[in-house]
Amino acid sequence: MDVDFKQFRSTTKQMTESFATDKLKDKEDFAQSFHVLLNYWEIKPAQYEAKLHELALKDVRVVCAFVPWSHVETDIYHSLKKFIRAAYTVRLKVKLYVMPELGVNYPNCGVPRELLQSNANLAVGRRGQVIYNYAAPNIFALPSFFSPDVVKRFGNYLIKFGSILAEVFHELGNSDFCEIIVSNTFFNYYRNYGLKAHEHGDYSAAHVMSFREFLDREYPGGSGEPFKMQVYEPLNRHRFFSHVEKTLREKTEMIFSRKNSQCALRHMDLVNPECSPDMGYQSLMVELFDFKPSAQRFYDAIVAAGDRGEKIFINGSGIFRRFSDQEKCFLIMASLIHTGEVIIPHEEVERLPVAFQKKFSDLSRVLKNQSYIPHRRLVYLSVSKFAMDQRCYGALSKMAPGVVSISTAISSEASDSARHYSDTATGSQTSEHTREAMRFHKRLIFVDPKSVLRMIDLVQLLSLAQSGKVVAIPAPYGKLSNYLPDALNHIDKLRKIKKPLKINLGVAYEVYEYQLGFVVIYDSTSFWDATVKSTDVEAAGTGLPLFFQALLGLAEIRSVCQVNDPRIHVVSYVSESDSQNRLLFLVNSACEEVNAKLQFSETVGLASIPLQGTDGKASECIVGKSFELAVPPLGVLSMQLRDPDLNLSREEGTALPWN
Amino acid sequence: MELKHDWKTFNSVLFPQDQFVVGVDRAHQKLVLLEEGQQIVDGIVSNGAYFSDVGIDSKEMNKDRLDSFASKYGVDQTIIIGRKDLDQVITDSVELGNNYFQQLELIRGKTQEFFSGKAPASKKRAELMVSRRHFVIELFAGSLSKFLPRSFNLLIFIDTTGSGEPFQSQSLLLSFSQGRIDQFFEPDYSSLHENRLEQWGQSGDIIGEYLESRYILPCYGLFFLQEQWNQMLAAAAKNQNPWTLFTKYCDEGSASVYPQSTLIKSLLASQRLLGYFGRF
Repeated sequence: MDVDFKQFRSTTKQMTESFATDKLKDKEDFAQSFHVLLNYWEIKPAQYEAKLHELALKDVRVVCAFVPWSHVETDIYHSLKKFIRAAYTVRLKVKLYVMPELGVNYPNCGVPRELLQSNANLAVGRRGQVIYNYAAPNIFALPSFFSPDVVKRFGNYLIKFGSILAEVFHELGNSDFCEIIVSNTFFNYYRNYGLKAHEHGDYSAAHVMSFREFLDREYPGGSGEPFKMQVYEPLNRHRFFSHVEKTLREKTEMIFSRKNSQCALRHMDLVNPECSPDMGYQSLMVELFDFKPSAQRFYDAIVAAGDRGEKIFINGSGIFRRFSDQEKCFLIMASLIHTGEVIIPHEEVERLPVAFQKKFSDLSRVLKNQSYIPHRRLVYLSVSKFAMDQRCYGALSKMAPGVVSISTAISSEASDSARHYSDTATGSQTSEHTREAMRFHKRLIFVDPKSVLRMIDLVQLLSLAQSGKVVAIPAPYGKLSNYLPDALNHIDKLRKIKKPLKINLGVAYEVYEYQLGFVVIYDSTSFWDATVKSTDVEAAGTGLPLFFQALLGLAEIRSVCQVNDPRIHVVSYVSESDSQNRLLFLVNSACEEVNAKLQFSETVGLASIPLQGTDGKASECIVGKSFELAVPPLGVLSMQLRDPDLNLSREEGTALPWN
Repeated sequence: MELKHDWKTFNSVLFPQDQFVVGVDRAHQKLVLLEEGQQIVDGIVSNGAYFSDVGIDSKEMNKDRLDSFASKYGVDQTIIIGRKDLDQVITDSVELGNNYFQQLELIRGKTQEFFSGKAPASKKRAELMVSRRHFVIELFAGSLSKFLPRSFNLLIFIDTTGSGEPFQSQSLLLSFSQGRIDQFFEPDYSSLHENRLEQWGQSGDIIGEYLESRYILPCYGLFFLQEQWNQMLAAAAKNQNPWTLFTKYCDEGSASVYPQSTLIKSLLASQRLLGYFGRF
């Protein structure tokens, strides 16, 4: 079957090339300003082409669609096939989101009703309560992916979906126009309101057996027994949840690879802010009492998603529809800035003011054309996105706002190291974690203090240090093992061979020069020590702030600028092709104008971002070390940072006052 | 595939965006606090303000303290709901299946029994909780339901064609059963000639009969233009009678109703009288 596909590809290569060059720029294969969402099941199949033509006339080149699980199972009209065919006819590219997501306008967000009728199939929170979705389209209990019934039926759905795609691609002789997105589905939402982040997860009865098996695999033999103790339980559970999520994604990818080897497939973390655990009651009470939702609360959820590396999905039938135009524009722009991608229903896009659509398109184009990426220089490594030690993570986020990103640990099994997320664009075969951390601008990798390090983790961390990063890892803890035996031997060898610089700034740590970078081994006692209960780092007197300051200094990480008003969020982007080329966004989520005073550590030039129609010409540049800027309510100020030495013109006595 | 509970279409037809503009008037603004274990775990302000008092002690929530909260958030009243009670009602609502409207109605109704805090008279208490009211639902699920079949469909057909644009319309079919909304979705017109929709003014009967045969239930239909619908919604928001407007539009010939039965004619006549005497 694969051979037939390859033959097909060679004969249709010309057609594909023509299609690609006629319609798309090289860098924008699946990119465009808005990720326009179309719920194909809401439209009659006979109207697909007309609707897609309508979108094409509005300059939409890529259309996104969630594929509801139970719709695929019961689709007697072959809607999905017709939709894909229609997209190909209209010469649009299609992104299909294969995993169930909260907020999709389909009963139970596409989860088959029968599965939700058995308690054994439901996800349960840390305190034993069923986890519900409160937001539109309806209130329902989340299914558990630990349940054998759920997994089996989900597998059947994927196989059927894969078959549908295979049939369509075979018929059309082309699959280049289609991309499958595998997201993190309900794993993001497995937490009841009120539970702390570290209590996140599905604690249903079905997971108990699997968890035990996982522990036996993860820590084999007698030497592994200590790691199964109660004290490691939170860490092990999070590792287990991450493992299950990753396994589900890999199995999904495998099914599509088997059925559809030529179709591009991408992994992505996605979140619908109004369905997030911290927003659950907000969404419900807004609908219950017909209230206006809080834009600031929604924005907080977007910021948190950005820190976790998630993209935003805006649901057209939820509370988002209740925001005013100004609030919607602000939240969409904030989603782009904080997360890099936002999926919006086409009806919402059409309602946005034309001026905003142009501004958004221009900014997206600039970000794509010059390969700007979020300037997050610090990677916080923990076993899951919710397992960070809050004291540590909170302190780091406070000291380095907007530069911290969360990354999860490498897969648990040695054999998994051979199975990587493949990057179809670059053809590289490195793990997502390593690839992400290896980006040039990521200077510091901080490993969560309450981590159990395995040999594979240690080797990868040391390789990152080798490449020039600063890697901070917790030291072997005396009272409990936080290293597996082979990893412990390895780190001990390193500590014996190399002579460190030993420092104690409240937290004792050792700095080892490691080829191009540094390895910092810090004392994690206070984190493991159960007697240290205080969450206020400074009051506890642990010296964390000084330690983090030293780390940030070693990695040469500092805030782009200081802002006098905490209501202003500063987000910076850097160009992958030119590290001197930076963008700065000042985001004001308050309902009143804020006069922000920016203080830079060195003289910089601020200029407006060159947008379409300016032919890339440099705009006037204002040079200085501090600036006063008025950020409008629910507004975003965007600017380019320039090296004043390369400044094209220096304006004196300009409108913007500076000190 | 036809959704039986299309929340998106339900809201876009019955509760379009314009209605969510919140006035500055503090008189009708409320703050709802969610309480658990003598702590406030969350809060929501009707005017969209950011609630920043999560975690405060709720042990001594007296009148003065509630009033101070109300002042802080620019609202008229503060209401407290117990989280456990709310969670229990939410669990009960799940049994209603995919009908989000009924789920919210159930939760809304039950929370009125639970909330504590300022304890007004029981009659006023009901007014405190804003319900998802709509004049169409109130009529067909309320006073008129006694005269209507036990189960029936109600079509709301809105001609949304802009000037100089090709014909466009938006429809919502509300399926009532025993006085409650059972289903809500966009009806399937696929077997109906497209001209019938475009000429809805003359083809109301045909559209109505088509829907009756398609969905095997008696059907009532309301047909208007977009601006007429907007005016009716605006009138309802100002506590004026939108049905008087509808009668006026029917008399002008720009709106229509299906079927033209005795009951409907009587209702229209009574609205005309109300409109006539309302001028005095």
